[in-house]
Amino acid sequence: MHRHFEDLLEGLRVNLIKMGSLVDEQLDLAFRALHDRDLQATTKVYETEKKVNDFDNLLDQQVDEIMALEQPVAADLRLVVSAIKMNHELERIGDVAVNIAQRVEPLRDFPELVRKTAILEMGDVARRMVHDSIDSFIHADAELARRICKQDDVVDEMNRQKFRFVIDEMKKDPAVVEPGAHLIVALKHIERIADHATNIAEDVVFLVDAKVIKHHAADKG
Amino acid sequence: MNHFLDSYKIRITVAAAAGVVIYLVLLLVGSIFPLTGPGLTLHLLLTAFVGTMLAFGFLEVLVAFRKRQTKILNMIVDALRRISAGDLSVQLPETGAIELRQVSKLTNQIVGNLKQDISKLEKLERVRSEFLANVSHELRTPIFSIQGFIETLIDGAIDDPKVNREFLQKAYEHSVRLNTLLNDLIEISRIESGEMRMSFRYFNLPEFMRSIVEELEHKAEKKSIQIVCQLPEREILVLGDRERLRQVLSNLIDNSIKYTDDGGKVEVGFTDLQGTVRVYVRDNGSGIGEEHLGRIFERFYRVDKDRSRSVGGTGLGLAIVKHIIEAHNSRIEVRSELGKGSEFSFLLKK
Repeated sequence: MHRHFEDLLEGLRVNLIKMGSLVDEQLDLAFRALHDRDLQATTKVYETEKKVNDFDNLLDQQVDEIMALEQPVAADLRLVVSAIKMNHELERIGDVAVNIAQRVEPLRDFPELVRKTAILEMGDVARRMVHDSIDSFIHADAELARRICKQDDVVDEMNRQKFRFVIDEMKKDPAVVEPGAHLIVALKHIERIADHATNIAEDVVFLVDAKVIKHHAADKG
Repeated sequence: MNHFLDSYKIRITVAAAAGVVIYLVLLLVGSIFPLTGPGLTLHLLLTAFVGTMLAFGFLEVLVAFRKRQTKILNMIVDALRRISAGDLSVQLPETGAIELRQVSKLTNQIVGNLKQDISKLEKLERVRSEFLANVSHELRTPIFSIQGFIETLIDGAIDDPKVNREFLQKAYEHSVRLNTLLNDLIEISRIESGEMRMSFRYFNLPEFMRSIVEELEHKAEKKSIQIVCQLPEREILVLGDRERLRQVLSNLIDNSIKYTDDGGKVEVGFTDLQGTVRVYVRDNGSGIGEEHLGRIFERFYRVDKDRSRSVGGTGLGLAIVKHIIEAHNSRIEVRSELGKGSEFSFLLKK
């Protein structure tokens, strides 16, 4: 493998980690803003989104260059293919972080409802999944990636329970119908974050073990 | 095990039989191809005698060789018996046939490896015992203090408004110290067992360092120590585990504040290098003697035991710092001069 190709692949890896670092921070900011009802923090979430989008474009360019000039094979090809998919997932997580930040203002005057729904508890699980999925890529840890995939069911179950709870609250008190609707949307966003983290984890398993496990492909043998 | 050739009589008999066979064969050859000449019978007898002697010589050499190999084999068997009984002072001579030389050589190597492993295990056991002794001692100190204050309070001091609050405050401070020590112990055992996973991310170093300095500024102000932290405004991204590095820098700055006299100065910053940055914390405090520099990162090693405890050190801080920096594929470096101050620094990848 020649030096230029090695540099291109290393550059791709470094930018993926940089983008992952930004998204991880952005998600942390969005949940902290929701917890602290901090509108100033939401501004930082929107600002970070611009940087995430720049990385999305940059990674696309790098992938195009590697594919056009180097035609990678085997593990190198898996890195490039995983980079395309992970870039997409990270960009989507960034978008969802913005969506969550947008719920801070409408939910600002209903801290009790937010507390009782324990949406942040679900957010912590999803955020941890994103955090661990980035770690699994950095450490090429397929075992960790597989454990993340199992967590998705936990978040799905939390979503169902909390959705039921919010509906019951809305039935009891019409005054919470509007914040309740925002909460349901936020719950859906968090559930999507867990899905994206699971997809990244599946990409890591593909990258490290050259095995496809998405849609429970591994179970089917 | 005995061989039939080991008997001297049998060897003579075999050699004589060989001489008879040679004589008979020569006679047979003589009857097929008529041989004539003076002294033929004497000549044949002489040839048979020489054959007998040669056969005897050959048998002697063979038996001597066999005896030597048996002796070496017996030595190896004896050595293996001693090894299995736990005696590792065995050293086999590497002689004899090539196979026996190999067996002896391998046996010596196995003994050497076993000796090394045992000495490593003994060292580990010694470190473990020392560690346990240190832990017990460190835990006992605050526990005894808490017990002492509470006992005094129970014995009547609780009704004495002059001391009751002070004693409670002291008991509380010791419980905080106990908690810090336990946290450090949990941390170091997690690091050493490999349980702690690093979460490497790119982050803005100047912003990160400013936030740590802000947190510790009030502590420095109490001792009128000035923290100098001149950092660039622009973004400089470095790769590392932010939370662990926060622990490292807080620990280093905290140490500098502790071991610098009132009115002193602590400098925190970094030097931008090619592909890396060197992060440093330096002070103009008491400094560390050269004889201690190599050991300050050991668990529970203290340059000045009394001073360390009085400033609230657990003796584990620098050991944790060293582990975290090494997990970043870097190395913590220290330069110090007694009475002039110290500098701790490490490299981070950009």
